Amino acid sequence: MKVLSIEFYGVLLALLFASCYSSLSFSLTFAEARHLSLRAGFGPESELINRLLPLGKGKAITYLLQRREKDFSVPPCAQETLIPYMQFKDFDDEKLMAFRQSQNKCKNALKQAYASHLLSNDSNDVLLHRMELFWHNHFTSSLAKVPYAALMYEQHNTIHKNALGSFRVLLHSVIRDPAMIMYLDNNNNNKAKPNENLGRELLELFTLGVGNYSEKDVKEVARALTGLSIDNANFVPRFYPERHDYAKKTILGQTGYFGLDAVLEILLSKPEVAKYITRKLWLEFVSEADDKAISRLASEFYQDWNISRLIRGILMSQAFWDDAGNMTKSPLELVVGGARLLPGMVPSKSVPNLVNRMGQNIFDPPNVKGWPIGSDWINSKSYVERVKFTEQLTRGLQPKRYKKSLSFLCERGASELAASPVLVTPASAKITDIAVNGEACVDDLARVFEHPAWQLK
Amino acid sequence: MAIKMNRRELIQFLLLVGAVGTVPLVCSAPLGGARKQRALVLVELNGGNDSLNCFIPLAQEARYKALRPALHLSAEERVKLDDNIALHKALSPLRNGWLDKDLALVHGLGYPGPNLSHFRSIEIWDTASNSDSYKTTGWLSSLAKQPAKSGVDALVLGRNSGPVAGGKGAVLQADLLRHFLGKSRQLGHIDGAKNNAAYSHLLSVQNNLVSVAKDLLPILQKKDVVKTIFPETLLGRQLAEIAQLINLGVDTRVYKVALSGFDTHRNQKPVHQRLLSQLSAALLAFREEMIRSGHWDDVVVMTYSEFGRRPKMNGSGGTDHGTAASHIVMGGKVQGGHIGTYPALPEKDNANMQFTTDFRALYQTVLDRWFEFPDIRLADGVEGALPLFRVS
Repeated sequence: MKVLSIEFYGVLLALLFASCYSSLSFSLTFAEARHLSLRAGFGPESELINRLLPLGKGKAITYLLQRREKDFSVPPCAQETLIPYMQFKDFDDEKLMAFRQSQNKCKNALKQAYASHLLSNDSNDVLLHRMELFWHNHFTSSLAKVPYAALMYEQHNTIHKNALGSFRVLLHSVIRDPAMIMYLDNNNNNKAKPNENLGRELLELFTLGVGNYSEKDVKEVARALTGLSIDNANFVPRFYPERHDYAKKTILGQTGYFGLDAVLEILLSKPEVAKYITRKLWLEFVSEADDKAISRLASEFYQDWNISRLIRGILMSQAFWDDAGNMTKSPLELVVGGARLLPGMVPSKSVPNLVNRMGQNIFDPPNVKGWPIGSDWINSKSYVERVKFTEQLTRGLQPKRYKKSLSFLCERGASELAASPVLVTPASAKITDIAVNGEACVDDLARVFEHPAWQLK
Repeated sequence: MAIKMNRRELIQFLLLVGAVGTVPLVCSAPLGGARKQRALVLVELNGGNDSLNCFIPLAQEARYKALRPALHLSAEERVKLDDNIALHKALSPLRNGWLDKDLALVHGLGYPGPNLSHFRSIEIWDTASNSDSYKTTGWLSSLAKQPAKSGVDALVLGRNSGPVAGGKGAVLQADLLRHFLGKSRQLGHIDGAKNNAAYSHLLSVQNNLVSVAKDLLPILQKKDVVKTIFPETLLGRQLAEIAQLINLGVDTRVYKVALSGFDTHRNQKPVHQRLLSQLSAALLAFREEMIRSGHWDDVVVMTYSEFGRRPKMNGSGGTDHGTAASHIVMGGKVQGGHIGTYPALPEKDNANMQFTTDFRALYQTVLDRWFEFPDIRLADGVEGALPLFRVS
């Protein structure tokens, strides 16, 4: 009797232990923390991993969703007063040229400031940064068309504030954003001659998606957006009543004297918008769509447009956790992720050029549909640039100066840093004593970085 | 040449025996006297080219002027081809081909139920799908049924590999070949798992690069192959590289280049003028080089774009997205002249033109008559019967 009872308690104890180490447990495995850091951040950097490891899935996601920092500081050149448009007509060619050159310089300074921010050790809101990039790519605007760097910074700041907040607020803010108004030509949209650019992309790319509206709707929405422009003196959004078409419009089956806000509310009354955004965000984090899960999350999203809640829903799904290694890193994920593993090895100054050569020009997507996604990032041209970058990551790396980083990167074996370690053969040995084995660690890191599997997340 | 050896093996063999540099790697006349490989050079006009201001319908001039008070081209800004059509002056270098009757203008190209979104419409043009059906492979992707010995079935210089993507063929994409072939030569071949789509794609790109670099680099590095001076624009340099490959007998079937910036919603006149000048100067050099080297009969050059633009100008000195458009087809075997009917300019102000020729009839003609792949059918009820090529 006594013996049996000991066995009984033993089993109970074993069960208790087992539950601690299953997915119900309080702490993440290294593989889970690595996966989360790759998909919701820029990769398995030491500080992040160490913070995530003791947490369970729910708490780890909560940690990532917390906002801790202000936006990056704007370069001084983007703080100067903007030259009002009407002054340009008094400029001679030389003055115009000088102006253009100074703005181009400032645009580069802006790209660089953002790149440094993404690389900075003090900057740990990795999921926020990922979502800034996501929304920038969703509500595309480009430095190539917007005349002032300051205006792109302002747009970035609007996105920064709302990236994890309410989609409704974000949508209302971005449509009024001066850079957006200029990028999609709404400053030229007036009742006499409507310009459809913003109206079309609002339906096609920002809210409903192709197939959920007609060409007639595009024309009617364009009419509703007439008069929304910018003040040419100080570049703030401004409504010009005399340019607005006050006549009746019929939009998505509703008829009325609609203006901008009414159009946005009509759109936000459509479940298709929630579905379209949910699907796009799902595919940002998971390689394949799961229509059932998307449908369920979309109907929740439709209730409150809470972006953080939607992200949590996606990251908590089993499909997310079963998906390690099935997606391709974007250029910024590859470069920023690599740079953050070995602080100082990649000068932040070179980042805008590096990612541009891989197809991702910061604040300047190729067109209004934005940058490529998934495997579309990889073609012969971009692939060569990517491999070249991974080679540079360890070139000239002096183990003595990177003892702390290398201890972390090699303690489990460098191949464990890859999204799918089994692809990297042979698996790396664990290297602990960096003071002695530093060179071996660097050599193995180089091998892992240059392996095609390093391009995956 | 009785030894059975494909070109790749031949090159490796030559490398082994140390004969590189003394023996031409690729004969400029094809081995065994077989017919030279026919090639298609696609030129994408990215953004939606305003073909109405490229090829002005003189018979409809009054309406044209009325729709475009500040944007129409006056007699000084255009070059007359015949009583029906005048060219934008910036396109005047194309007149050589017109006079020699190896340049055709195919008018009114479009499709039923036109889509005015850039992305959807270029997808339709790239995949030759119906407006409301979705295809995942480009209209030229199945050409790889007979793989090229060069290891490159399609070479895409610049953006968008849409027309050749999704098939089994090896697609090489770069801005300029010479910039990266050297780097890719340093990669190594890797075998790997195939149940991960993202990884499979990476491996196929890497492995393709390894073999192609080995083959093409020596060909590209040969001096004095192209003798015509090409413009120093990116498009000019890209077409010069293509000319070099064709001159040296590389058997790639499809080449694609792209010129961007045609989405002229505002201030169109100077922008469009600059783009058309770049286009025509590069095409002129390419034509001259192909004639000079005796390959003009092996090449067809064809422009395309996601759509034409709205006949009526907008309030910003530009034009919004439109539908039907004319495009250029040129080559030594091309039967010059007008093909199809120029669409009527619309009576309603903000309306678009009605297409008169399904663009897939043009594609199908190229597949049937140029590549002689009649088993590839692009669309039900669309025949490849345009009188595009000389009967000889």
